[in-house]
Amino acid sequence: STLCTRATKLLEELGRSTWLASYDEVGVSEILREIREKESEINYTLSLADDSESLPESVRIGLAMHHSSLLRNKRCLLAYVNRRATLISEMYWDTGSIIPEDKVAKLSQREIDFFFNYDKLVSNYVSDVGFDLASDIRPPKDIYVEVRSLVGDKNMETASGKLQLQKGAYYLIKRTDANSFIQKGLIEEI
Amino acid sequence: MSNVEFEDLGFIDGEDLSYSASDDENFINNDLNRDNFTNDAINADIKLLSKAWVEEQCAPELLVYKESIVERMKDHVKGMQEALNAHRVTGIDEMFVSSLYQMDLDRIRFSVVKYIRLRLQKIEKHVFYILENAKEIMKAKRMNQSELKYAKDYCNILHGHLKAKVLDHLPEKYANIKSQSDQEKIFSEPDLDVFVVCRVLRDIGSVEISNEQDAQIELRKGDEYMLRYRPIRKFIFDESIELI
Repeated sequence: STLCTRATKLLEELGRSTWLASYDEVGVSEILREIREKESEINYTLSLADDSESLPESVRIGLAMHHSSLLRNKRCLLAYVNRRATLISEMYWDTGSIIPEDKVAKLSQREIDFFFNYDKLVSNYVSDVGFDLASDIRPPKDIYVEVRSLVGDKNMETASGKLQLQKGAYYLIKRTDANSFIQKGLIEEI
Repeated sequence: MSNVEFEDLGFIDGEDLSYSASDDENFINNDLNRDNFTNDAINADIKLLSKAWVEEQCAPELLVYKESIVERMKDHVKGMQEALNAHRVTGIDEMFVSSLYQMDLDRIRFSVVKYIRLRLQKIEKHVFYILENAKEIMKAKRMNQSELKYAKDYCNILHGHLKAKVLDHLPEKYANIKSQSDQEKIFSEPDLDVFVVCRVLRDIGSVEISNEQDAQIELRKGDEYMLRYRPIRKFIFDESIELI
């Protein structure tokens, strides 16, 4: 049957990819169009009689079915967008305020806006509550961590002074200093 | 290494120990001599924080926000960090000890962050439900003003996002997020019927735990049970039962 198959496909795609697939602009517009068409069909059918009660039962059953498929489409769309939004906000906690390149391509413009709004939201709360929520995500095993620098000629602020990073060089620095740089991808943990 | 430097800061003063609201905190504070044993005060708070975190992890919904613990931890952490930064390290032994203190600090910070973050996750998951019941939740002190603001702002950006992507493109009759779906619940709610492991802290007496068989159990201090969350919900809130 053709009712809601497009919507089902949309949701299946959510389950298939490791993170997110590209925002399915085409699929979403198709479903939206389907909804609008159904709605005008229903309205037209209703307008054929003065009172919906007077329509034959088969027509009323058809109407009910189309109506509920319309609602299902709507619900599927909301679920799709909502689920993507949840994954985007989870990504924020993993990778920080900058979206990694390979992920940016998969998001629609509005989703990127959502990400930045979420960033603002969390930053506001962090300043309210006084703890840096983005750091300290993993249980600290050691106070120092061995890292390798991925970039050269960058200056790094540590609690005990400035450190100049050289590309490929190894350093042993405090975890608290390293965390934000690891998140930005400037150094990596070994 | 002189221990005096860390205790001397006096960042636990009389005020901090006296404003606690819950029975737990009163119980522990009464046993402490307020002028000495500042380290004991921190340890007690750490225990309370762990307890709060474990309970929050087990419960399907937002529990009472232990704001006073978070605030005290903030002061502890600030004080300890300042003491550590100010302390001149002279010699390997001192460096070792100060790195231990630093690790301890990192662990405390980690615990607090996890607790706060867990609560934010719960808020985000059930944001529409929480805002619908905001009055009741605020009255029970299960959120503070900042969390309420977080919930409202998150709802705004999420709803705005859903609107821009879906709702605004729908015909007018269906453009509201809730419209026409009273058959199904469109907002996710916390599942209050999950099973939790709990310990009874106070004698409670007979409690009805199941609708079907008219089952009642006697809850006495020290009992440990695995029960559905819903029937014991109000006892969690008044701290007669704890989750483990």
